[in-house]
Amino acid sequence: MEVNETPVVEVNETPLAWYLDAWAVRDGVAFASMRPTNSVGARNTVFLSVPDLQPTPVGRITTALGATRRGFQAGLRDDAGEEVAFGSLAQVREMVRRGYLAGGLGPGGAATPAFPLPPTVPGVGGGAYFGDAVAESAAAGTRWYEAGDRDFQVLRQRVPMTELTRLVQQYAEATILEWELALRSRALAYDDHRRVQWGLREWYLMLLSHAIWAETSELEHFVYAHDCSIGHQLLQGSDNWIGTLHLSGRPAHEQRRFSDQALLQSAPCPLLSHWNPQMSRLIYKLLLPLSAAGYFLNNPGVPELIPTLLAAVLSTPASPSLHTAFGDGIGSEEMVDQALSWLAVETPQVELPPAAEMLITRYAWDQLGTPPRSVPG
Amino acid sequence: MPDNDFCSADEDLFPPHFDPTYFSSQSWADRVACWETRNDRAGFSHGNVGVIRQMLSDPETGLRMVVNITADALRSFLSEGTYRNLYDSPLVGGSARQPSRERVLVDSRFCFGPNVYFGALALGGTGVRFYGEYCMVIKPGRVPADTGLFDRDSYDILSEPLNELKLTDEQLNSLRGTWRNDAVNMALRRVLSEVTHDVRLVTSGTVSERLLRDQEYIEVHLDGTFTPPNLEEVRLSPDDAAAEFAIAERERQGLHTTLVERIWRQRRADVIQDLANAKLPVRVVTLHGRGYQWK
Repeated sequence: MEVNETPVVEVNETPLAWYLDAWAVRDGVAFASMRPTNSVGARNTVFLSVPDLQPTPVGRITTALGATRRGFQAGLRDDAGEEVAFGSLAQVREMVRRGYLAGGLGPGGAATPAFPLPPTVPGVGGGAYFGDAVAESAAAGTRWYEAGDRDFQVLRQRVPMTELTRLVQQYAEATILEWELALRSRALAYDDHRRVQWGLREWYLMLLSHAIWAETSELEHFVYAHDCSIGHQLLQGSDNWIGTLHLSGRPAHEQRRFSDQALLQSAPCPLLSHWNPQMSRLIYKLLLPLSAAGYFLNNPGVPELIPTLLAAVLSTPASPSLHTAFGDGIGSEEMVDQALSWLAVETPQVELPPAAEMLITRYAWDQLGTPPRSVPG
Repeated sequence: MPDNDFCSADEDLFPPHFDPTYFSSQSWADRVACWETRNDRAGFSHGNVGVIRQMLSDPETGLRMVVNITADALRSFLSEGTYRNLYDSPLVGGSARQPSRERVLVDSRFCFGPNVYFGALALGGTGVRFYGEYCMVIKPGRVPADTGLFDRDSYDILSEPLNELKLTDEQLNSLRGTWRNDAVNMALRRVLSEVTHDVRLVTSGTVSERLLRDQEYIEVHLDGTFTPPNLEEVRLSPDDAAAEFAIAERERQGLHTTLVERIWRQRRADVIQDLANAKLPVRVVTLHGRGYQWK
C-alpha cells in the first residue's frame, strides 16, 4: 500500500492539513480544503467528483459551505466530534472513492439491483453447491493473503491458476442455481418474476462471454445435470443462444434488457454455511474489499476470495469471441489472471489516517447491518 | 458624477472602492437604469439592455429557479416525493459538538429557517455543477412572488472583502431582492457588468453564461420544499454525457475501467429510468442559445 508521508504542514505556527468541508458520500462528491481545523481560513479549496475524482481548485471555501445546504454532510469528524485530518490530497481522494463504493452496500445502498431476488441463505442452494466444490479443493485451506502483497503474488504462488479458475466457474454455477431456485419458488410477483427471468437469461450469456466455461459442453453438462430451466431454454431450439453466442460474440445491446453492471448489482451471492448472511448480493463481495482495507486481512482464505474474483472477472472487458470461435480468444485462466490484475489496481492503494480508515470501514459494515469482522465475510 | 435621477441615490452606503452603481441603496431597476445612463454611448448599450431584458422576461423561455442535485439524492427525491436540504446526521463519522459558527452567522443574518430551500437563478444551462450533475428546473408557478434573492452565494458574506465590512443590515439588504420585483433587474444588472464591449448585440448564450458561471450566481431562497411535479425539466451537462460515452468506449475497446466508473455509468442509466418513470423531461444542454435553438 502506498503510504503518503506528506506531513501536516505548519505555516505561521498554525497547523494546516487537508480537511473535508462537505461530502456527498453516496454520490462520490466532496469539497476539501487545506486549512486549520474548525476554521474557514482555507489556503486552498478543491472539488472532487466521480467518475475521475480529479481535484479541481474552487478558489473559495464558501462554495463548499454552501454545499452543506444541499444534502452534503458537513465535514468529517470522529466520534469525539474532532475533524479528521488528511496528510495529502491523495488520501482525501481515496476516502471519497471508498465512500462512494461503500455507499453501494446493503439493502438500502446506492448500488440498487435491477430486480429483486430473495435473500440467499447460507449453506443451502447455490451455497451448498459451492460448499461441495470447496470441500473437493486442495486450495480450500490455503491462506493466500499476506500484508503488503499488492499484486496477489502470494496467491499466484500458492494456488494454481487452474484451481482458481475451477472454483470461479463453480461459484458462477452456484449463482445460476440460486437464481433458478428463486424463479421456481414462485415467491415473486408477476412483473418481478419476468424481470428476474430476463436477468437470468442475460446472466448466462454474460458468464459465457467472460469465458467462465472453457468449453460450451461444460455449461451444457451443468445445465442438464441440474435441470436448469432457463439454461434449457437457451440451449434448445433453432435459436440455441448459447451456441450462437459462442460463435458470434456478446449479445447485441439492442437484444438485452440489462447492462453488465446492472446484472452484477442484481446477481445473488451464494453463501457458505458460516458466511455472513447479510452478503446477499454478489456486488457486496466486490464493494466491501474495495472500500474496507482490512477485508482480506480478516478473510485470508481462498474460498472467501472466489466471489470477489468472479465479480472482478465480470468487471473486466469480455473477450471478442469471434476469435474464441477460432480457438484464438482469451481463455478462462487468462480471464481470471486479468481479473487479479484488475483487482490489484482497484483494492485500496493509499493508506488512510487511522481515524479515517476506522470510520470508512465501520460505515461499510454498517451499510450491511453487521459490525466489522464479527462474522466471516 | 453625472447628474441624473437614476444615479443620485446615496452612494456612501459602501466604501468608495466598491462600484457605487452596483453597491447602492437604489432599487435594482434604478441600478440598471443608472448603468444604462453611464454607458449611454452611441453604440449598443441601450439595445443590449432591451435585448437582454426581453430574454430574461419571457415567461416561456426566461428566468428560472434551478436546483442542482446529485444522483443518489435525486433518486431519493423521486422516490420519496419531497426535496430535502439536509441529512439529519452525517453518514460517515460523528457529528460536530455544536453547529458551525459560520452557518449560525449566515443563517441569522438572513433569517433563514429550516424551511428555506436554496437554488440559483438561471437562463438555460445546467446550473451550479458543483452541487450535483442534475439540474432541476423549478416551474415558475412554484416560485412565489416574494421568494428571496441574494445577488451571490449567501456564504460569500464570510469572504473578503464583504467580511471585512461587517455588513450592516442596510448594506446586506441592498444586495437582496424578491422574485417578482427584482429577478429580471438583478439578473440584467449582473449581466451588464460583464458586457464590456459596445460593438454588437449580445446573444442568449452570452447572457446565460454570464448570469451563472461556476459558483457565481444569484441565490434563490425558496420558502418550503417542492415535489417532482413542480419540476419543468431536468438538464444534464454535455461534459458528463461525453465522460459517460468515453468510459463506455474504453470498456468496448477492452481498456481498464474502474469500478467507480462502471457504477457511475450505471447510476446515470438508473436516474434516466427513474426520470422517465416520473414522466419528467430530460435534456442535455449547453447554454441557453445552443440548448434551445438546436434541440
